[in-house]
Amino acid sequence: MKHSRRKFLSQAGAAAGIFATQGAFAQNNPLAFGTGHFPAKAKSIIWLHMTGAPSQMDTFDYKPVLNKNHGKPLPDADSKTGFFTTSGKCLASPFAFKQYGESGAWISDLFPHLSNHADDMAFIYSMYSRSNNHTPAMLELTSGFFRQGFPSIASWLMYGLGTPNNSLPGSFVFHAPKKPRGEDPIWSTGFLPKIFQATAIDGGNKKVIDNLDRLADLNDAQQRAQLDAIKFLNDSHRTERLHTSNLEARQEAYELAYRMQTSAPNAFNLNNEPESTRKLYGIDTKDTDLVGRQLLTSRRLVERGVRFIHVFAGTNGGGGGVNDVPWDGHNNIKANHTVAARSVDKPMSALLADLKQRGMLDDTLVVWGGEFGRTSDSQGNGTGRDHNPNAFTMWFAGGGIKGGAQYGRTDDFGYKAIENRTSVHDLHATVLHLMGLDHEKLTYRHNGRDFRLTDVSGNVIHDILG
Amino acid sequence: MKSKAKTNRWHLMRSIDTLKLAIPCVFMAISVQADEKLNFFESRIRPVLVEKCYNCHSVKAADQGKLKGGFYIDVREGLLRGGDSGPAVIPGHPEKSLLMQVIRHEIIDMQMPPKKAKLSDQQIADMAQWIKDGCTDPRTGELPETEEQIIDLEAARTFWSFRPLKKVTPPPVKDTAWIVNPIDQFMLHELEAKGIPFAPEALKTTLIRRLYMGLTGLAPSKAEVEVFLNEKDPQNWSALVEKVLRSQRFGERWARHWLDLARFAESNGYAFDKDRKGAFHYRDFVIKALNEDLPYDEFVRMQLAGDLIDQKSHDHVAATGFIAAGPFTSQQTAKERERSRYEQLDDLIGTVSTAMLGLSVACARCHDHKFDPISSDDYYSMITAFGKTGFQTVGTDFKPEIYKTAKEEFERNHQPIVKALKAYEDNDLPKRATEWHKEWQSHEVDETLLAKRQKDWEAKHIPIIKRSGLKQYPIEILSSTATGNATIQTDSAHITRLTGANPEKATYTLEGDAGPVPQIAAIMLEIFADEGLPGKGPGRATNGNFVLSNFTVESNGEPVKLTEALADFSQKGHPIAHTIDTNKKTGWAVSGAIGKDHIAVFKLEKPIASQDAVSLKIVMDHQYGHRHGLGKFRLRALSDFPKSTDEIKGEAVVPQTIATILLKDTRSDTEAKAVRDYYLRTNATTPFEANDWRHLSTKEAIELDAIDFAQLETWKTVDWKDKKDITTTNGYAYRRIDSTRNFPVILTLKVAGNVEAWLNGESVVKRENGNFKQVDTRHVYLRKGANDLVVKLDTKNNKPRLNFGLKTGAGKETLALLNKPGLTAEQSISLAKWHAPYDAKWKKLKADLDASKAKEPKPKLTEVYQAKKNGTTYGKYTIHHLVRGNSDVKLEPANPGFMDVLMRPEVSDEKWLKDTKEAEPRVAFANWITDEKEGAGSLLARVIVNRIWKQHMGKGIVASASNFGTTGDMPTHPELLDWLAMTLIENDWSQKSIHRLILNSAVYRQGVATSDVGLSLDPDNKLLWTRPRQRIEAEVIRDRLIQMSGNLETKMYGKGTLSLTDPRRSVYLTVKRSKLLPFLQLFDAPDAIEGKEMRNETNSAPQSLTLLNSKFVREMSAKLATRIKADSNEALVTQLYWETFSRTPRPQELIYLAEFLSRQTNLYEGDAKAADKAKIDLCQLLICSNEFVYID
Repeated sequence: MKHSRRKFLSQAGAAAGIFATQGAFAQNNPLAFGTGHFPAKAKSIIWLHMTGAPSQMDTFDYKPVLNKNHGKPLPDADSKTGFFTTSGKCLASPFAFKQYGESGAWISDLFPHLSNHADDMAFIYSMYSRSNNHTPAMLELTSGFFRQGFPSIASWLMYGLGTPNNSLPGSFVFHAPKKPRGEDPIWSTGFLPKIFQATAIDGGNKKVIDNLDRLADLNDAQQRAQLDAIKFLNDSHRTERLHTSNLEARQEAYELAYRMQTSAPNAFNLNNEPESTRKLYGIDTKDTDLVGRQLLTSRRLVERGVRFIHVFAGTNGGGGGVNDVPWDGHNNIKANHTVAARSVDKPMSALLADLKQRGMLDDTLVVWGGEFGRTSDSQGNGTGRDHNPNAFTMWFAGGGIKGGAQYGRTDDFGYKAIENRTSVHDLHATVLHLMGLDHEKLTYRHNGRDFRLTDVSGNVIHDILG
Repeated sequence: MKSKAKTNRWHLMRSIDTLKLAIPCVFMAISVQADEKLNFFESRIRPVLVEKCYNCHSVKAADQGKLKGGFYIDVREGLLRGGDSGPAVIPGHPEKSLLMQVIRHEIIDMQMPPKKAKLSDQQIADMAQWIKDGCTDPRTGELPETEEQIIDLEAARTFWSFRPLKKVTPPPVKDTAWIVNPIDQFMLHELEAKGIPFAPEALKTTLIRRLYMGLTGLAPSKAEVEVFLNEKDPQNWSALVEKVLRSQRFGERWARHWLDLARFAESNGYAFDKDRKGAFHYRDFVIKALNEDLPYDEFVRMQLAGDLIDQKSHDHVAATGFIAAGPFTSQQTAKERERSRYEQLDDLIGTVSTAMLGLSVACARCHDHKFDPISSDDYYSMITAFGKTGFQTVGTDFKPEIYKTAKEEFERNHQPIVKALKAYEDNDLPKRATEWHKEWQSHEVDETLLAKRQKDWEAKHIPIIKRSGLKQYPIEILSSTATGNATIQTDSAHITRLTGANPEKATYTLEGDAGPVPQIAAIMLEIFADEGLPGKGPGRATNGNFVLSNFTVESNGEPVKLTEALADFSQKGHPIAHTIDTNKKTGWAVSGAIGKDHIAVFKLEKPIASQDAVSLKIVMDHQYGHRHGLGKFRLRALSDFPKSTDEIKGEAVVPQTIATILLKDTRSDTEAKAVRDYYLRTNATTPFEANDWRHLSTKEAIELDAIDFAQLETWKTVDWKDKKDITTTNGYAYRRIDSTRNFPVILTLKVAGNVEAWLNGESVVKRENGNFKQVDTRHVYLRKGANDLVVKLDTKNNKPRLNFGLKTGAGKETLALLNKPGLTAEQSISLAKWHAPYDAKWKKLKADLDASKAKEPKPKLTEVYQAKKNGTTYGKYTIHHLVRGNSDVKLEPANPGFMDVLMRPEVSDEKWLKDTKEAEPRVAFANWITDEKEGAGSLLARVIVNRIWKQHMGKGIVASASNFGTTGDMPTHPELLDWLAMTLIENDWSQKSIHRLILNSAVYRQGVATSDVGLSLDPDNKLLWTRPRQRIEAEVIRDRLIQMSGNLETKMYGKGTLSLTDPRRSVYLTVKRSKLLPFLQLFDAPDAIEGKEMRNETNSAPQSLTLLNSKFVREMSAKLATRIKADSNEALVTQLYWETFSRTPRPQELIYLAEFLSRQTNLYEGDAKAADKAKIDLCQLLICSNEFVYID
């Protein structure tokens, strides 16, 4: 039973034989594959985080009223909504919108490829978050809290579900060569055990997993002999000892490590993919190469059972953006978003097409969004937008999602979410639900309190579920 | 007893009785207009409540399990009582009513209704009106019973952990032979009740390893083990315990346990993760305190309020690193500040309460603690104690007496020197200046040289004056356009301005007419500074610069070739010539002279002459990007292409009257005098001539003594200018300076590295190891005629650079004085002041003074990251009660106070608060928490003895060592816990007294053997009938690897590093929150975000990969392999067993591993280093083994 597994887990260092029928590693392996509270719609998640926060009214939340009022005062403008001070004057979107698919979703010309998938996507137009500053907002999106020290959604999923593939880490983070603002604490395990830590891989994709490669000194036979000797010593050490399961587990971790040395590099080797697939993802084309590689790798990892992949994406095209928050178009939303969107549009479209073609989209949930939205009034030199936690758009595709669904609404200017306002807790509740987990039951006792990813609130958004 | 200092908010929020009393009064007041108000409610309020609110806030919702926030809006009383967040309305006060805030969407997490559109403005206004009018509400109905728990303090105080400590008598046991000290009585008493015996005592080799690893985190040496094995006296165990407890390594190991609880780190965390200078002093304090066995109550008091108790004591100040250590975002938006402030306090009280009291108080931020008797009131009272506390790095002289003594000593020597200079300046200097002045005036000017100078000057200026006939023609701009939506406008003065959009790149096209003209030979571009431009312009870039990539001209529709361009100023790397090349990526810019007007001139290949107007089209291209366009400019046509832009600047060069004379073939005496006067006025302050530098390279380097000054002139001349940085090679540089007369001048010299300069053979500058920013300034005399300056450069490894300058030491006023025949006394003093630096005696006295001053002692400031009163980042000191912990929704201010359940019933907060000044409740807090009689001291003692027990025994008497509340584990041996806590206090809070008792006990000394009876009756070993093995932590793994490599450095204290391979112990590694060492993290080291009471013990494949494949582990293994030498495989294995496991191998281990060595060597067949590699493999696999990381 899952329940007892979790209970067992929360007692760190416990060693009772709850899984007497299984091997010692499985008994002591908190990452052992498990199922949730109810049947899951999705097995894996690929979360596409547009680092630095894209603008809702320039991407998916079409606002003709805003556009018409360009340069005129924005009703109820609060100049301190963002990080700096905004003008209070409406800034029309510099991008053209069209309707796509049967659902007729409005999508701007930033996404010429992605827009072909409109009917696979379900939109929430009424997201809000609670901080107008990148790091706390990123923490909120990943952990539900805007302070450091809380487990990321990846760790909660590892804790709740484990991973079916014990030759690979269960969750990954892909980021550009520069880590997003806030760095490692964004994907920390918080108070959950470190074993639930996601493996972060930089944009260079060079270092797959630390220390995965055998040292140059040894060949396979030599290392095997070393491992056999370790086993001999550990077997001898284990005799006549109390509660030996952790000793056995540690021994088995060596065998797993040994297997990982071959299985992990294989998962990351994109040369095994046909040229046509590589092209589809935009690999080897300057603008899209990085994200293309990351997303194709993501698909390969999901195929191998990896639970959660967090991709922090977007190329910095200036206009206020900097490398750790590329979508941060404070000064020139047009220049900024044009470059950032170009770097992700084709690879993301390829990901959806590829997953679909392989029948994987049904149980792979793709999530898209930033850490907040942007202001409807201008900032910088009059062509940029500041941070806006009061409204932003997210979309979902795949595993358990109702394609073409549209949920929530912002005001006519896209400034504030006004209908079906959706908190980050709601978002997390929905994502956990799709993975077969009840967000109110996925708890961990810490400092005398049962903590949740969704703190004390959160509602599953059933309207976007298939 | 509830303190008077505290507010009664708790009652205000919670007590329905209070509100009931208030209601009738309200209703009476409004009864006159009751009908009208009732009508208002029915027509305007009730429908809205039903439609928008009942779904989640009604009795019906509660029945369906959908009630949110414990709040009923369908019953009058429900509105008044409110839900989890307190009363929803305060009748008569819409501005104070929570209901208004939530429907106005003023609280981001409580925007109501939550999923639907905001109420209309009218509906919101109605609601406000209704509340203002007193909340007329005819709805009756029963409010369901709430589950609200009122904290019963009396009952709560009877909970085991909150009870006062009592004297406990150790229970009797049957098998007294086991008993070493009372601990064993408590333990054995329980075991005997179950019929389980202690496990037999561990082997001596096991015991000594356990003791060393547990207390110091390092293994004993083989010699230490052997000494212990050879001792027969049973007392030798106690002696060994004492010895190891005295080891400095003990503090290093045990500090780490406390640092885990303190979430110790040396950087802010969050974005940008700024380093906290001097944060390591806290780590040093903890090590020192543990080694010196600082009484625990004092240890706690210092960490909470050390800065207030004794701000002159390093230890006291450093100790406050505990409360200062939390993560804290230094980047905040205005809207986040208040929230951040409360979060910082939340982190602080959370850490204090869990680490010291084993209670999680932080839960009470939003509501009364659900399980423990901790009220929200307790929470806000306690954070108030820290409300004025800020955290920063402060430099303090902790030994001011040393400075004071040194300073007095210094002044004794220094003052006479000060006086000597003063006396000389007062008495002798004016006299000497007057004498010098007379002498100076008698010096003759070298008229020949002067005449030559003047002639040169005239020769340079006459052509310019001649050319000043240069004609400028306006260009009438008829149309101007700019790309990228920029606005371009040309006014009647032909000045063009760019406004509006500022595109990334821009092209300006201007078309217009010039003439009719006799000749256009060049186009002039004048660019202007302007207050309206960023950085005053002339460009539109944020700093005022621009980059003009290309400048092209068409005339009458035909392209005109531009052959030459010049400008009055060009930025380095951006010369004007770049505008007429075809490369669009290069251009002209003016960084270095931004905010000023400039001129550029472009020469036409062939001059244009026309009787009609010449039509011109000029295209100015700015392709550099980043909005580097020009902002304000004017185009003109010129009749000639000038040699220099000076010509265009026209009369500024020479006044018209002088110009006229200069152009004459002959001049009268009067005219000649006028020119001479003008020349002297404008040039005579530079009596020297700026010759080029001459240089002698190192290849030809010769010692200065050997230089024949006469030969210096033959040195190779290179193009070096005054006040320009010169890149050269090391060696000698030489300069000849011709002066028209004896003249006092100031010489400046900048050189990196070593430099010496001689003027006329006399050393004037000598310096070693300077940097290029350092300017040597010397007051020297030039003599009439030739002066030789030689500079010796030795810039070490730096690229040699030299910057030389010479200027007159006299300003205009001084020059006037110098030329005056007689001086008044006042003028003499003024002149003396100026002349002092040229006076030998004064120079000597001044040099003495400077030399003495350089020796002036300074207070030795130690920079410590610490708590500081009134040092908050936010500048706000008042702490408010918050609704649901939300800093956007404040209630009344909180007063300092403490947790009621941890005070004896007969005392109040005042007991501790009254002893300290009003402003220092933090000290009161520290006193309360350590007060074992009436405050929280009993719990404080219980928590720490349990922590010590837990580290030694692997599990606590209370398993949840940071949770002594109702949700925590019950103690397995409550009486033992209390006995230990009492013993701690009786021993003046000596932690080592507890260590000593535990380490000497029989229960600690048990072996790991299991027994059937134990396994069947207590399979989880809760009663400790056998010794549980313990896993070593990340830092201990690393320390042991370094210890075995032979590289361990035992240097204590001070700044650490981020290097995994640093040879010092891991406790000294810098903890930077964004750069936590992956090696340590992998083995469950804490991330320093919040306090950690017990590390996880994980087994993972990445750990195995690290031990198998990391460079670090391999290197340590290799060093161990190199260090251990043996004659045979067996001897080698035996020695390595002592290094890794502190024991001899068992026969089967010896055989297997000796064979392994041979087999592994064979596997490396053909490798010259086969045996060495096999040996390293062996070392590494021993490190990988379970026995290495698990201690029996």
